[in-house]
Amino acid sequence: MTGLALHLRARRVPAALLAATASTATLWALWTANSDTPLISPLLAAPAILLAVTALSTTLGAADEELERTGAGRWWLRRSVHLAVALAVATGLLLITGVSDARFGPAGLVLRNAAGLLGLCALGAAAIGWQKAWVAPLAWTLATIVLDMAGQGDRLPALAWLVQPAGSRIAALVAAVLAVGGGAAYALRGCPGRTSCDPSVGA
Amino acid sequence: VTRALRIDLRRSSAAGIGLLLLALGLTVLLLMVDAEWYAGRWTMMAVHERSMLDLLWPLTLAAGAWQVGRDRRGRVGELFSSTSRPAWQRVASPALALVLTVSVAFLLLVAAGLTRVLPTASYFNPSAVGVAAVGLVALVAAALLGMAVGRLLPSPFTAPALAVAGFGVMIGPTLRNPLAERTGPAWEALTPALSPTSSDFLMVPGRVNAIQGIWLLALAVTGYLLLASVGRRQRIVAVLPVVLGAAIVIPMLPHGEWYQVSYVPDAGAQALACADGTPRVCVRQVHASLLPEVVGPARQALQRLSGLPEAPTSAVEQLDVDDPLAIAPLQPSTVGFSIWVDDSGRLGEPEYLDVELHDVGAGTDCPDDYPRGRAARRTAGFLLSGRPPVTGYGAEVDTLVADGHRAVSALPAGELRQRLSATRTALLACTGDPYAILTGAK
Repeated sequence: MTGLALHLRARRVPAALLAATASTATLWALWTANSDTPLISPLLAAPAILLAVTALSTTLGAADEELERTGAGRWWLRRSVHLAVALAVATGLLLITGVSDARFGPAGLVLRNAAGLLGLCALGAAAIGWQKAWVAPLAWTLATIVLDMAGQGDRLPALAWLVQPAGSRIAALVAAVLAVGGGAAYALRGCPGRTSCDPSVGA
Repeated sequence: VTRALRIDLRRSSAAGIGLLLLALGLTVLLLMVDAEWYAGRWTMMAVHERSMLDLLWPLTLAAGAWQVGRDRRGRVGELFSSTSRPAWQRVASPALALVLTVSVAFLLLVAAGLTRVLPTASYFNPSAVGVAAVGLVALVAAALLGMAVGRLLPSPFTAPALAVAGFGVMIGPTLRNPLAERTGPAWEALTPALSPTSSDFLMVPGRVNAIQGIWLLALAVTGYLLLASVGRRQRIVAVLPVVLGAAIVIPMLPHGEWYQVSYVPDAGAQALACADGTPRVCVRQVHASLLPEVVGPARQALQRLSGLPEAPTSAVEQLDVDDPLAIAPLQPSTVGFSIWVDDSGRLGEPEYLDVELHDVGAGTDCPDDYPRGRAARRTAGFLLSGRPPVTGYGAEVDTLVADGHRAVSALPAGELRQRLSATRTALLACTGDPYAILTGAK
C-alpha cells in the first residue's frame, strides 16, 4: 500500500484530481445555468473531456524520470494500469453528472472521446514530456469546435471525430488508433528523461 | 537586453510556439477558409484573417502561460530574483521573444492571404489594414496576458485551462445564453472576435477598429505590468490600464447587434466602374479587375434581349440582395447581375452569370411570385443564352426550370420569341403567372 501511495504522490495525483473535478464541475455549472436541455451539447462536452484528460495527463510523468527508472519493476505494466485508471477516472467524472438534471453523454461518446484524447496526451507525454502533453489535444479540440461551428464538421469526419455522433465508425476508429498508439508508446517508453527537469536544458 | 533576447529566441519555446501558430493558422486557411471568399479583395482577406483568431487567440494565451512557467520548471526563479535587475527588466526578454514570434507568425499568415489578394485586387480600403492590425494587437495582448496569468497561477494545468477559458470568452457571445443577451454588443466588442461577412461591398468602420484596438492595447499593457509586478500595490497599478481602456471604450460602443454594427456600406467599393463604348456595362469598383471578363458576355446578352419589349440597354452589377442597404428596384432598361469570384480572383461560375445576364424580368422577384416568377426568369435565361439548365437555385426552382426548359425548347423560333416577349411584359408589370405564359404549364 505504501508503494501505491508513494506512486500517487510522486505523480501529483491529488492536485490533478482536484483540477479535473473543478473543471468538469465548472463546465457542468455553465450548462446548467444557461440551458434547459438535459443532454450537454457535444460542443461543451469536448472541452470538458479535454480539461479532465489534460488535468490527469499531468500525472503521466515523475519529477525525475531517470531516477525513477532505476527502480526495478515492470514499468510498462505500471504505466498501462495508470493510463487505464486515468481513463476510468475521466470517464467516471463526466458520467457521474448523470445523476443531475444536466448530464454529459451518451456514455459511449464520452468514453470514445476520453480514450482518444488521453491517447493523444500519452503520445505527447512520450514524445515531448508530460508537461507539454496538453498541446496536441488542446489544439485539436479547439480546431474541431471552430470547424464544427463553421458548419464544416461533417465534411472532414476523421479530423472532426470529437463531435461526430456516438455511432460514427470513423470517429471510433480515429479514437481507437490514438488510444492504442498513444497508450502503447507511453507504456513502452514513458516520458523522456532529462529534459523535463534539468534546468540546464532550458524550457 | 538584445543579447538576452537573442538567447531567448534561440533557446526558449517562443520560436516553437510561433511555428505552431503559423502551422495551425495555415491549416485553417487552407481547410476552412475558401480562397474564393477573399481572393482579390483586401477587406475580405483581413476579416478572414481575423476569424482565425477564434483558434489562435486562446492558443496564444496558453503559449504565454507556458512560456512563463519556464523558470518555475527549471527551479531558478529564486536565483533570478536575486540578480540586481528590477523585475520589469528581467521579464522583458522572454516577453519580447514571445511577442516577436507570435507577431511574425500572424504577419506571415497575412502575407499568405495577400498572395491571393495582390494579383487581382482593384480596390483598397485602408480600414482593411486596421482590421489586420487589431488582430496583431490581439495576439500580442494574448501572449502578455497569458504570461501574467501563468505567473500568478503557477501550475502545469494553467495553460490548457486558460486556453479553454479564453476560447469560451471568444465564442461565448455567438452561443445563445442569458449573459450574452444582457451584455449586448459589449462582450463581443471586447474580444478580438469579428465574424466574417459574405458581402464584398461592406467595410469595418474605423470606430470599430478603434474600440477593439484600444481595448486590446490596454489588455496588453496590463498583461505586461502584471507580469512584472511585485507585491500587491504594483498589481493594483497593473490593473489600471484595463480599467482606463474600458472607461474609454464602453461609451464608444455602438448600439445593436455586434455583427450588424461591425460592418457599414463601403461607398468606394460600391462605386461603378464602367467599360468604354456602348452598350453600357458596369461592375462595382471592388470587382473592377473582372470587368474585361464581363463585358463580352454582357454585350452579347444585351444584343439577344434587344428584340423584346422595352429592351434593356445597359448591364450593371447589383449589390447583394441580403445587404443591409435598401436596394432600389431595377429599371427595365437595365439588366442586373452579380459576380462570383473564384479562388484565384478571376470570374467564377460564368454559367450562372450568363443566365443572370439573360434575365427577361427586371432582376428582382415580383411580390409573392416565388418560385414561379424566378423559375420563369431562369428558364428564359437558359433558353436565350443557349446553355443547358444547371441546378443551384433551390429545389423548387430547379424542378420548374428543368420541366419548363424541356417543354419549351421544342417550340418553333417564332412562337418562342412571342412567349418570351409576353413573359417579359408580365414580369415587368408584375401581373399574371409568367411561368405559365412561358411554358404553358399551369
